[in-house]
Amino acid sequence: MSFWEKGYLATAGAVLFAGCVYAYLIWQRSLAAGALVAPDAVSFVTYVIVIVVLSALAFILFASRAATNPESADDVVDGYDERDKLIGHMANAKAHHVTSFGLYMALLAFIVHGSGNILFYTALGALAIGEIAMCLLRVYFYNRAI
Amino acid sequence: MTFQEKSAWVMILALIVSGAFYALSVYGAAAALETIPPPNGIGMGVAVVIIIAIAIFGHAVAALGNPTEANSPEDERARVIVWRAGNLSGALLGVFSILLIMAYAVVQSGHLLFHALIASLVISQIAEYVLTIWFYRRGV
Repeated sequence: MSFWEKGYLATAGAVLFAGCVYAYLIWQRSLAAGALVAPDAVSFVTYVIVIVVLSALAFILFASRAATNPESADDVVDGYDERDKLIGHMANAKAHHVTSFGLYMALLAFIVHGSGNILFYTALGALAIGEIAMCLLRVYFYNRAI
Repeated sequence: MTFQEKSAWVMILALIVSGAFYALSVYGAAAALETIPPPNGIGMGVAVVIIIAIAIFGHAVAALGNPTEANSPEDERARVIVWRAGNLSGALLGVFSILLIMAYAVVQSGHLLFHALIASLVISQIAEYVLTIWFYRRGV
């Protein structure tokens, strides 16, 4: 598995982990309050920072290990080549459709329930699922001919 | 002009016309209520019908000029252009969506978030078609 594949798998894991923790936190607060709680800036920003930090740490760890391995050092030194760019464009374009579909479902949920909090959390979920889809699609395209 | 470029122009026109119609309907409701109005299901339905009608008519006219090209599969260059345009418009949608949900955490208006998300979806889709035409003209 190449450096980029490991990094994007770790990013998908970070988004999933942080999303599950954030969802659990909101669920517990909502149970205590008896209704879906409104989002607060502190926990949302913390959620975003956790994803960024975990993903960055994963890339740094994999890059440092790859750079010290003679067989895979070129992956890191050569950086982003033409194939990586093409795979990135393909994966991001297809993940865009996943995100858009999720956002349309979030808008439908708002029309049905009329709750801005539901719209917020479902839209956030759509963005997270789109990001996970992008990472998994990149790994998929690295392993098959394009 | 290739069929894909003509198709992109048709979709830009469809999105602008339907987006303007929906924006005017929301503006009219906001002016009447003096607050941000709830989602207008009928307005959204009409906007979708407008998109479908313009897309069908426009693509039929575009294909009549060169039916062979319209029926031919995408070549390698067209695929890369579509991917790159989709990549950049997806990033734009992501940035808009993150900013809007952060704004909701402060403003707490579900109706505003709803209409703003609709706008960001339409704008990102228009951007995708504009980028498609741009890349066809100047190369990827």
